[in-house]
Amino acid sequence: MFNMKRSVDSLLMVKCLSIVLVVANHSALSKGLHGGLNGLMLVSGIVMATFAFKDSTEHTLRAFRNFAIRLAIPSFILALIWAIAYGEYNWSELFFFRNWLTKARLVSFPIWYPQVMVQMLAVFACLFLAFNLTPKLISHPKKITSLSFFAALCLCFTSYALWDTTYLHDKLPHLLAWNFIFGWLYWAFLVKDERTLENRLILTATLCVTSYLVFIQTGAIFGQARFLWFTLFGLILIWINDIKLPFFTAHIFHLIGQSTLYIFLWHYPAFGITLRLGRLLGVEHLASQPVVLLLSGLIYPILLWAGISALKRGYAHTKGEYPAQAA
Amino acid sequence: MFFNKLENYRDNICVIDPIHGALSYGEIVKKCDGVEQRLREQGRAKKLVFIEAHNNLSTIVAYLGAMRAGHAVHMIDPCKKNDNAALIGTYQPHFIIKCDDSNGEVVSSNNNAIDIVNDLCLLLSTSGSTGSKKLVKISYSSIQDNTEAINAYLENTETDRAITSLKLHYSYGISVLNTILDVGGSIVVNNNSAFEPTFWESLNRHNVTCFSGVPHHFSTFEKLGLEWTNYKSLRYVTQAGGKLSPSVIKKHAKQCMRNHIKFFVMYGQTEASPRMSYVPPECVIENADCIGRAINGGAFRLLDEYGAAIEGNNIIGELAYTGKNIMSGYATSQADLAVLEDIKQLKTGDLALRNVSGYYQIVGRKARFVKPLGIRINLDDIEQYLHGVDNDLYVVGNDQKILIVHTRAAGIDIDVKALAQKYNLPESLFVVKEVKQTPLLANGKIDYKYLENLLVPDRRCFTWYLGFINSLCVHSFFGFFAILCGSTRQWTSVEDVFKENFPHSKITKEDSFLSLGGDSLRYVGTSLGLETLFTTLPKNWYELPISDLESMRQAADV
Repeated sequence: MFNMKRSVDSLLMVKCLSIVLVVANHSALSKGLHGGLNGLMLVSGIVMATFAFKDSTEHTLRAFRNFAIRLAIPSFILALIWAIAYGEYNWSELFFFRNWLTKARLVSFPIWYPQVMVQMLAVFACLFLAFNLTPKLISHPKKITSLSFFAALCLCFTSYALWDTTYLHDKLPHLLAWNFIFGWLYWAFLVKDERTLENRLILTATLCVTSYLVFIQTGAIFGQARFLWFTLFGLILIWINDIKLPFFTAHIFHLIGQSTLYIFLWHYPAFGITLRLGRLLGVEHLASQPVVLLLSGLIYPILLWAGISALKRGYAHTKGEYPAQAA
Repeated sequence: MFFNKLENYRDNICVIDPIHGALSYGEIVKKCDGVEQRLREQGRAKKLVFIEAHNNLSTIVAYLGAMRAGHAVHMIDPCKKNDNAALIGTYQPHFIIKCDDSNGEVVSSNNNAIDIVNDLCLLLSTSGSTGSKKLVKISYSSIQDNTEAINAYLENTETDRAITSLKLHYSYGISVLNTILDVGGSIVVNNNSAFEPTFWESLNRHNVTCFSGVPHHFSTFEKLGLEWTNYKSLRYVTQAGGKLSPSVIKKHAKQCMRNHIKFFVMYGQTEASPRMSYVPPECVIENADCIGRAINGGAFRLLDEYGAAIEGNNIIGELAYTGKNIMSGYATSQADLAVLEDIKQLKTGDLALRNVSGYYQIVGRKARFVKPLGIRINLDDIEQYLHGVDNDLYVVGNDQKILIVHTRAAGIDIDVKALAQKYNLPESLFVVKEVKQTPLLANGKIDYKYLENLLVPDRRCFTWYLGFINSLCVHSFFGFFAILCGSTRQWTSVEDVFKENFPHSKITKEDSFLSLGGDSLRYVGTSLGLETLFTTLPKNWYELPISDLESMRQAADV
């Protein structure tokens, strides 16, 4: 079984690397590890464009709504649990707009990401509804995504020029929309159109230049790290289709890829469990090592995901197979 | 009748055959005369003629010749040797014409006295009764009425040219031939499948104007990337023979519209000779999930459970059809050929609703048909078959299980293995259960609703709960390690993969990852699940309906 090779496509690879980067950054493994969630935003943009830009604007709006709900509901429930646990109800956090007020948070996961996503999707939904954008995107994908990307960049530069958002760690939808929309651009050039050398070169140039201008030239917070990682992820997506890996390595990618949401939501509690276990077992020093925290931040959520998935599968299997009893 | 007015178009091209080239109506009439003469050797009385139907000239000539001689005709599928033997044994036709070469050859004849009613024109097999002795009786007026009604909406003229894309023993296939002959048009005889390039070369070479296909054609064309723009001569395309996914209909309709080709979606049953409705091409895109409106001279009604007509829109009822093209009953033996029934209304067995535009939409099947593993099974057929074992035995089922209920306390000897083999289903699908007495309704009929309830587990039972939880724990425990080790679950179908990844959605075969609202969070799980079923997962798998993915998987397995 372990001699077999399995392919991992670049989208899954970037998704995994991004979430690992997020956990690594939070485990204080090293400096310069910011940018994982920018990578996830890019991946979401590509996938969203692939799945949502079909048929009609209604279809797109439905896809936006579903994605927002799938992200927002678990985030909301966890935020509520935290609020109940601490007895502190911060409505701005519970209702997804605290990122506009402060960089602080009560919950034990980077709630700014679902906040930014939900806000961004709400604005996109209004724009799609107002201008009936999906048919236009389908008929002129390159033109419309390029215009959208340009508009997002303008918005971002204008904001940086007029308003120093460092105190909010730049976690605002209009500053990050271009990451998401770059995913649309990728869709227009490399999914909707052929993966030609010309298309790849155009995207590479766009990625490098805009990434440099936004992250470095504007003096964005953690700009260098975000520039480095975002550009690297973009280049992987542009230049690699998929990669054949030994079964075990590919399987790790698959596990991380499937449990990304769990890792995102649960890596901080996993750190907490490891530290507590370390204290209990008298290996506190070892448990607080960043590498140990990084591994625990990945492994515990994966186990949680596997457990829940096994339970769901087990339920489906039992429901289908368990012999019926007469009424 | 269309076959009696062939002389009217004497100089028109009638058939284009790969061997004989273009043959005019005049030449076809001469060939038909030869067949007529041969069939009259046993006298002028009405005879029963079985024709082994191939897509070739001799089949068309034999069919027309037999019809012109006034005989009743049944087209048999040459691939089903065993079924044909049984059918021939039952009906003992006067003539069997074998048409596997260019000249139709009468291979068997007898002079048995069979009482055949004068108005009987055609005997057709239905998809539901294929392989059984049950045939649909079609009268001359039914076939002609339906032929004219089809021509009215397709606007066929003598400049139209069809191609044999369907088998001639199939009611849809023979109706294509009938309609084109009725207007003096021509037909290109072709024995290649529509999935072969030679078929399309032939279509282009002969400037064919009409293409007819079944759902499998269109869903496969989509995968093969067929472009209608490459076939400039086409005037229209028709789809019938089953439900095609609305997304596929829309794609083809849009492409056809761009190329000024009319795309007709049609609905029918062999029992209606066979066409009952169509969707006008200009309305197909907005009504891709509909079967349209009734053909000229026909009408639909929706019936509630008491058989009363439903007047309102968007209310589900059984679809019933009235029109001159309704069959004249079924035949299951030679004796049935002596009479034609006057059937005013055809209950289709399909559940449908009428939308606000007045178009009908099929929403399901009546309970007696189930589709385990995608195979259409008539529960009555199984019941009939099992009545050979015991008459006090009933069959109910759904798409997951078929339950055989009996009242014998001492048990019953049912050969489930043989039953499973007969219907091409796994043994595990059948469950045999005993009840104390036959459940009856007040009117003395069997209470099938009660029997159907036996398929549903009784969740109030404590021991059932205990067993369920035990089973759940065992499956989940091993499932947990299987997931972590990458030992993939043995999925049995594409639908299973979707059910797990969309646990809260009601999944149908027409759904796709996109239509179910799939997103990046479900993408990996679904694609990995599907990868276990496919050697190479289609690039656009997320757009394809479950039914298409399933047929692609099965084709790959084969």
